[in-house]
Amino acid sequence: MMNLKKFIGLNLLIGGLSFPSFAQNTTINASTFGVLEARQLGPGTMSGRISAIEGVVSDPKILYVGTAGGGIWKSINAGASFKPIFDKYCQSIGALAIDPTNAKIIYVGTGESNMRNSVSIGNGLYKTTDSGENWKKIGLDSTEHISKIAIDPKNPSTLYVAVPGALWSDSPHRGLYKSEDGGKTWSKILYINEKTGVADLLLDPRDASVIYATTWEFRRTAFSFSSGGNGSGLYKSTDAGKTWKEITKGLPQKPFGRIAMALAPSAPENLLAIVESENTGLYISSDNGESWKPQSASLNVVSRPFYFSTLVVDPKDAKRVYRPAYSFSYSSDGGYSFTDASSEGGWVHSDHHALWINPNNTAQMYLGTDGGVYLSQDRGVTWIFLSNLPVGQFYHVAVDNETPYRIYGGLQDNGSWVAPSAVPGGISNGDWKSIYGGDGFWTVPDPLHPDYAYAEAQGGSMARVHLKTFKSLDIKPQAGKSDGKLRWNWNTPIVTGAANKGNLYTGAQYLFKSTDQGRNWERISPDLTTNDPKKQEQEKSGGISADVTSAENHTTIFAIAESPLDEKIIWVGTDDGNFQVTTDGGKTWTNTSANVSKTGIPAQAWVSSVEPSRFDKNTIYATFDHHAYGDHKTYLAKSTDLGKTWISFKSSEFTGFAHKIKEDLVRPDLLFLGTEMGFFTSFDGGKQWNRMKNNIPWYALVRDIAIHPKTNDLILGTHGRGIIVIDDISPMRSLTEKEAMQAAIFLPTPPLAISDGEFSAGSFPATGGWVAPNAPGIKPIIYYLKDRPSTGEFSIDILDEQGKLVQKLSNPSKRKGLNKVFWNLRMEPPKTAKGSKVDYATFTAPAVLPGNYTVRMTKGTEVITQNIQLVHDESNPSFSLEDRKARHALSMQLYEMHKNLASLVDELIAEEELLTKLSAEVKKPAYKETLSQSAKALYTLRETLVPVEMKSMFADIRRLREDISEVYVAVCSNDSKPSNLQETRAKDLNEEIKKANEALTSLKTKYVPILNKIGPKP
Amino acid sequence: MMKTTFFSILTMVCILFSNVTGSAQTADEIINKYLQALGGQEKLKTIQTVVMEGSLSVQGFELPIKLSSVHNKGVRQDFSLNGMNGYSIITPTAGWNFNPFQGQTKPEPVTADDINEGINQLDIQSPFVDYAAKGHAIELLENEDIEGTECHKIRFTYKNGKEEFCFFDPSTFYMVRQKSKTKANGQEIELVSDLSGYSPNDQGYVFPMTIGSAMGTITMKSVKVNTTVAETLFTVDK
Repeated sequence: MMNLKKFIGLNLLIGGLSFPSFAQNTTINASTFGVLEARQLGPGTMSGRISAIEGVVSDPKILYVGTAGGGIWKSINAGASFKPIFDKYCQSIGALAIDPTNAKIIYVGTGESNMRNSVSIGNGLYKTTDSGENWKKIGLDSTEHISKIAIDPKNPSTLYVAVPGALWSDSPHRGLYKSEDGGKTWSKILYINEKTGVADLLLDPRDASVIYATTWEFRRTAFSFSSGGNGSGLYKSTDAGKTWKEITKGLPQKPFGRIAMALAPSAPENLLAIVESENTGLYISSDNGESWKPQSASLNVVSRPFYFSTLVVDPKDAKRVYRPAYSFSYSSDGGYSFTDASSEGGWVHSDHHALWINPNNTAQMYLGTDGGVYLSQDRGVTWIFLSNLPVGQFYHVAVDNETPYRIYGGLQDNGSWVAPSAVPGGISNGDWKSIYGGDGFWTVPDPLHPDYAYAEAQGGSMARVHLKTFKSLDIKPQAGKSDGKLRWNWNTPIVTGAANKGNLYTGAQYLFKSTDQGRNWERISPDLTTNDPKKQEQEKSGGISADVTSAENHTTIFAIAESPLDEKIIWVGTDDGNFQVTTDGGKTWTNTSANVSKTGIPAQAWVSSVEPSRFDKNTIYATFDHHAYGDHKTYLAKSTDLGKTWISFKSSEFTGFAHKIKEDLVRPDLLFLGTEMGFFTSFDGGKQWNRMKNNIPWYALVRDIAIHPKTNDLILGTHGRGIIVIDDISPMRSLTEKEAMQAAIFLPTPPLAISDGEFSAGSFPATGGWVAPNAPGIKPIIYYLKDRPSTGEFSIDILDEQGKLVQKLSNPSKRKGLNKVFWNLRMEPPKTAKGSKVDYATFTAPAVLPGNYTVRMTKGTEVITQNIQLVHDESNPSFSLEDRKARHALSMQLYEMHKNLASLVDELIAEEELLTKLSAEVKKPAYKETLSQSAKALYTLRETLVPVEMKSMFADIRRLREDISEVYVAVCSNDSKPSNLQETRAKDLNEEIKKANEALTSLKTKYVPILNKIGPKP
Repeated sequence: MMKTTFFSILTMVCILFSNVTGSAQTADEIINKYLQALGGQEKLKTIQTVVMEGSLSVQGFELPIKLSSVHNKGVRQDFSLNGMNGYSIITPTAGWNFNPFQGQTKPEPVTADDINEGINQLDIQSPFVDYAAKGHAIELLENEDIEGTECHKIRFTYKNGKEEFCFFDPSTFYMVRQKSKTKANGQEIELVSDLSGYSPNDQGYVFPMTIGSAMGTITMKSVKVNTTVAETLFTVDK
């Protein structure tokens, strides 16, 4: 690994030699780098929020899981494995519905409707007619949030869609929508007002013209949440939505908040509803919803109605009622009494949003929680976690300088985690360690103390965590005498210094600094926010039901960054639009927000990220988030004069409000942007932007971006697809526009240390959970093709210094743009002797020696070459260059022995065939006998050299070939000097080959005279 | 291996050379240009047998492969390793695998599902030729980026319901990728073949000489059309 670092340094240098500024009509764009396919690390261990689950009734092992920020995942094996099927579209899923008459037709409503502060919006309704292979958007583009889709079972081209609508603003696009032509056209059939949408929806299975719907008035602002109002109610239609009547009989006093409903499929006149009100509780009706009576107000029934809106009745048993909410509870008496699920199968993650019961086997059900999907086989009593859904919702990501580096991040409702970026066998769920609780956000390593990290939970709880014991010490700053009440954001920043790595910062309304790992703090700013008291009434939050969780905390610091070039320059952004900078370590502060606003960026927009340049201390990049005011546009800007003047970046490619801008560590005009709907790159300092699609969901919620300074890996913290890594982005730094105009070129390959990589793949394959592969152990050879070659030869070969072919590389990619091919730094395997079982030497080649090699591309008639230098791997102290030479010498000796044995066996086979044929043809009995006996003797000799008859794959027949291979494979595979016994064994086995050759010569003395007499060989 | 290679066979046998450019608007226009690029339907209809020889290459190791096919009668793939010879056969009514490398000592029959999956591949003149008359269907889907090229995407639905997705380079109308899912014995396996290296053989038929897949790259060295292929190749000693 030591060598690797050295080479990466050179690689950086190569990348840093030129910083091209592309013309407007650049040929370089995101597609150019499509070959740099991201690895999705997951993990599945904490998974993420699940918003919808539907199974196929006619084939219930087929499941579709809709997630809060990770798209849709399909299983065809009852949850044993899942695959994403919605990666080109909006990742926030509100509702799923499968056509009951044709399970290939599925409707997806985008925009989750669990209206927490971090919920993401959608962009309409989608439909597939081929089980998710292809999708089409079919309307309702402006609805933002969709909670339910119901299909008329007798007339499946008729469907209804419940739209709560926009969370952060008034909207006319709310209500209940109906289509009678499979989604081609829509009409709105229930609408209250611009503040009230439709939350729940039921069709009577006996007669789908009977519809129940609940309306919901709700609103978030940047600093408050309200569920409930005069618009909320429960409605019924008996004419397929033409007319509606509001139901009130037996229900509590209005106003209502959110109402969740269910009906009993086996007895549909029975309905249940959890009505959020001054008397929130479960109400039941036994007369088709005409009248109601209170049934239960147990804790789990009444908890957080705006967030827990799921209520399900067993398909066959009208008395069996399920309430997935804060916990999972079930009732066997129609909702009068509830029992919580057992924890015998392990803890079931709290906060539940989806439940699908297999109607063919009602004991089997799937539960969607804030921490993934669970399966029950016993009517919800016990649960098994499905740990194979990598849909974690990271808020932030960070990396350290260990080898391999570690990845840190905090997630929605899932605390803070750490994992190594590479592990023998791949990075599996068990490699991720939970180091801090609550909702997790900033989780950052201490750059000077590798055993420590800083982590925090919602509302400013924060700790220094020891990474070996996971013991944590509370380091939250406390208010000084004159500070007043400290205001901590839900997602409070805690960051280490970029110039002085011993600095630690956090912010309430003031900025705090520590130089002793958070043991002691100094307040180094006045209140940096607007301190608007109207935005500080969080104790009133929730609406009808109190909901004060710090999620609405406001007028707080949200982003902090120390300049990498000057520790006295510190930038602070707040959630109420202030953007402050100090150039004297906090003595004086300047608010630059008015300057930002001159670019058209709204004054109140959150400063969602700040990125001081590492190339110029006067340069700062920032992103701005105005979605809390109903404005989801992408705002980002740059200043080159310490915030006095700004330019904003714009692109027609942008979607989603901006979370994070990141400047490359090497090439100043290479910028990365993460938004609520996508990951974007600019190669020209922000003039043009491209959406990245290299195995990254096109509309991924990219909350944070890190770049590793040694490996050049780009690490994304996504809010719904876990951690995503693009290995080694140095080609993005080095490819120039001039090079991209050429038909084909190689990019510079840094000197490569000869090694198979740091880790073995392990022995037994990983089972269960989510396992992400490591980065390739050997760096690829990178080349660029202006166009995809469709005709003629395309090959890439490795030649030695004498021009002799070393290896023809298999599967070189042929993309338009950047390409890569892997060379295992070995020769081609030897020709091995023919036998009746596979010999592993056939696939094993000796590693080449250090030296200069040529990579040769043949593209039609064109030939392009480049030198590549291989060096000894200095990172392995137990394998010297002399050892390497000794290994090479012995492996080549064994390589030649295999070739010699193969020639001998080929000759034996040919002679056997000849003698067998001639012995049958020849007339003279003495000749016939000699030839026949000689053929048998040849066979007997061959039997000592290779297995000649396959009896069973479990009969491990060993002959001389296998003996040679045992030594050969071991020597070739070991990064070590050959052992004394390997050396002597090779010599002994070579003697065996010589003896076999002598035996053949001896046998020939018996039959060759006869051959000479009966004539030439045929 | 068998399934993947059969898809390769299908694809390879279907594709002939032409440099046609232009924009296509409908599925039929794309398919017509594709078939035109192959030399036209009449040329394709002359194909009765195909024999291809090449190898599967993985990190310098090469596995020789030979494919022998008779139109609508059978496809056989032979491969040899360490002096052992294995094969896969599919015909309209039967199929066999013999894989001595994994310890098989005699050929084993494939399942009825496998036969149903493989039967479409016996049309070595190209299923796109007279596809409607054969009972197949095509549908133009949204363009899709295939390795940096925005390609036409066609859903090809065989008469027996099996679907394949074919991607055509809009500048040449070559098929550059074929993707399908096999659903046999309760399992679903996605197969992706990347096709390139289009070259004419000495009879003027053009084939993609390189087929990339998850298992490695198959490079064909020779292709013979309408050479004699004994139908006994498609039977085995039981």
